Amino acid sequence: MILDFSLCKRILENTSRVIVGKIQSIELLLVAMLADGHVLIEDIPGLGKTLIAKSMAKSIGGSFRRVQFTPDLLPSDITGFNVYNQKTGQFTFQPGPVMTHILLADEINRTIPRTQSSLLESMEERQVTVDGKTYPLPHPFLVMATQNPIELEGTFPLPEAQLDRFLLKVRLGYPDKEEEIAILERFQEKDPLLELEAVANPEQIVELQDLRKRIHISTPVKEYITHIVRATRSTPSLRLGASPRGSLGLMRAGQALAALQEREYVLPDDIKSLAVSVLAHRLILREEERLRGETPEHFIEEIVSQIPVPAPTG
Amino acid sequence: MEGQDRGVPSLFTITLIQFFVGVLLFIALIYGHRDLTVLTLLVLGVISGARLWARMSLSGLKYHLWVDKQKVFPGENLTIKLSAENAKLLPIWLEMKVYIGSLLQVSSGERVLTKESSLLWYQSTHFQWELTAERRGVYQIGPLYILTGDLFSFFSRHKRAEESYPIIVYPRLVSLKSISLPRRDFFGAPRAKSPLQDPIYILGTRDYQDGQPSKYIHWKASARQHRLQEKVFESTQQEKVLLVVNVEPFARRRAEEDFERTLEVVASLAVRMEQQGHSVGLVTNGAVKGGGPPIVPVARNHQQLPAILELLARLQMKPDGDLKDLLHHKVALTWGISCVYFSHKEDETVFFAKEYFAQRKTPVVFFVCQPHLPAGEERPEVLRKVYCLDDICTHKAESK
Repeated sequence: MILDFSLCKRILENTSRVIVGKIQSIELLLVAMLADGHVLIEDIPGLGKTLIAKSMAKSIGGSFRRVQFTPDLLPSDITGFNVYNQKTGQFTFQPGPVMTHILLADEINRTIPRTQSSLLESMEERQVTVDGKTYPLPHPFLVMATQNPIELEGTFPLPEAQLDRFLLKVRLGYPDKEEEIAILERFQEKDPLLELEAVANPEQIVELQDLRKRIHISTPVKEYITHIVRATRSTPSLRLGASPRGSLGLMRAGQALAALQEREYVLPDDIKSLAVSVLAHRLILREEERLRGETPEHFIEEIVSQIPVPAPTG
Repeated sequence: MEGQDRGVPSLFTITLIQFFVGVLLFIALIYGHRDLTVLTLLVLGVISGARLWARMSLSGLKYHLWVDKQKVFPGENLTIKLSAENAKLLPIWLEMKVYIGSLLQVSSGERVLTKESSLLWYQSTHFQWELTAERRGVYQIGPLYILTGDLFSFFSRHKRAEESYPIIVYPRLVSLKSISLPRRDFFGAPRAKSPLQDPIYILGTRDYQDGQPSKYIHWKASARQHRLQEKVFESTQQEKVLLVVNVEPFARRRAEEDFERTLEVVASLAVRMEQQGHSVGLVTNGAVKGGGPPIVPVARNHQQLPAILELLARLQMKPDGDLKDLLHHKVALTWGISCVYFSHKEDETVFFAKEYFAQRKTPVVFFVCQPHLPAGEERPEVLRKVYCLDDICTHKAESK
């Protein structure tokens, strides 16, 4: 069996023609896309979230929509709504921005829980239901939701059950000095996004998603995933550990990372490098730890450092 | 800081022995006494060898001090681990001392943690201590003193490792009764709170007003009534609370116990408000141990509560500036902020503060440790909103 994932590399390289640095973040977004999951980006404004999403959408030849989440945003602003036509006496469906391949949900925690739920339902079911009628979403469908970690005033934090729907949580972080100079040079005269051309099409991405499922994951690596996830449930500092959805997410993300690196099998190192991004947002700290200013990321790193990595077989 | 030789039996004795052996060697050489010459040379050789051994004892010595948590509540335990490895062929003896803060209680009751050990070549050792945080404050674990030398303990070398950990002990959290704070919203007095935590909870519908976005149109209601109807929403409400601690009256009366009790209530109130989704801030005129501003601006984020608790942990019962100046120049008392003011007694400071907040039209409630009501006198209007700490404190520590 030979699985061809060279297209992933081309998408990565193509996106990097616009985005300076951030290879790891672009890789994680591609991991989410191959694993048919969604990404939560927790970072401050101005770090290139929209640009990454647009570049990726352009690279895969898909459509892109951006929604700025505000407290007055209604579920119908996302899903679409039926408009009453007074002439015909009929309701006509106006599709919402969710009908796209890549949706950037900017500052998702600024909107009310009802609107958040409507989007998360679309993420899980890949369809929207308006007034009893169901409309399927295009494939592939990737939601990149962002939230600002600095100020929570006037926000509605995503409940744990909803956070669990995101495959990965990614932090972009500031560029280093050289990268920042490169950004200035790259964007000084022209916008590289305008010149960016598609290197794939949405159908090919769906094919890659199917191929990803065939990446081999050995029993010791599956056990390694289980050990990590189960350890989150028994760590005294964590009030809530990761659910089986977390284990599945870690496995799928591991397969996607292997695909991205053009490997037909998952290594324990794939799981190790993805554990924080896949699991941290699914955990709830005990109150004492939260008051101490601890983060779930710290405990995941501790767990991963303590669990022995399975030895290579055969 | 690496140290010099420190003769364990005392420098005087070693020098005396060396001098005495030297004299003996001289005599033995003059009289040609072979056995005595060999013996004195042997003793001098042992002393020089031991000195050289001690000099080399610090090289290749690796050590690591580790504390499991640096922010704790009173009564919580923390573990100190110390490891040392002798990464050379020369065996050594080792004494390690860790200095701990004066108010951290070790199970053995010591204030300096000391361990001794001998390490052979490439051998390592681990020590562990359990400490209990007793009182609010900021302490330090470390520095670490290492004393090592030859296995005969003739000579030694010492080193002061700058490895140290600050330990922040938060105020104890206590159970509080529920209190209602005065509020002032944009559109007058607030209504009763909606059962739903949703700022666009739909209160009803009305005829469509020109200029309103089409997304506010309630299409089903419009179809039912055969004219455009729009949704009417409830207004957004989110409380912002500034906690103010006036340290000066506590310091003036040296009311340390009351001060600690007040800080426990302030910390507990901040935690409760943050849990209820309010934006909380803290301002105080007390000196902050270790420096830093005595203000945490009103905000709501993941690091807000740890920042407030840390400021309370660092707060000393020592005034550092005028609270009125601080409020006037450093704090943005924007519309919508309510204040909770903590002081020691119902005295002139409370009266002046009340006047100040009234001028700024900022709603405020006061909490004091000792209310003062003259017998038979009714509380003046200006002091109506002064409560005693006992009014909200149930005197029961939460299990933190």
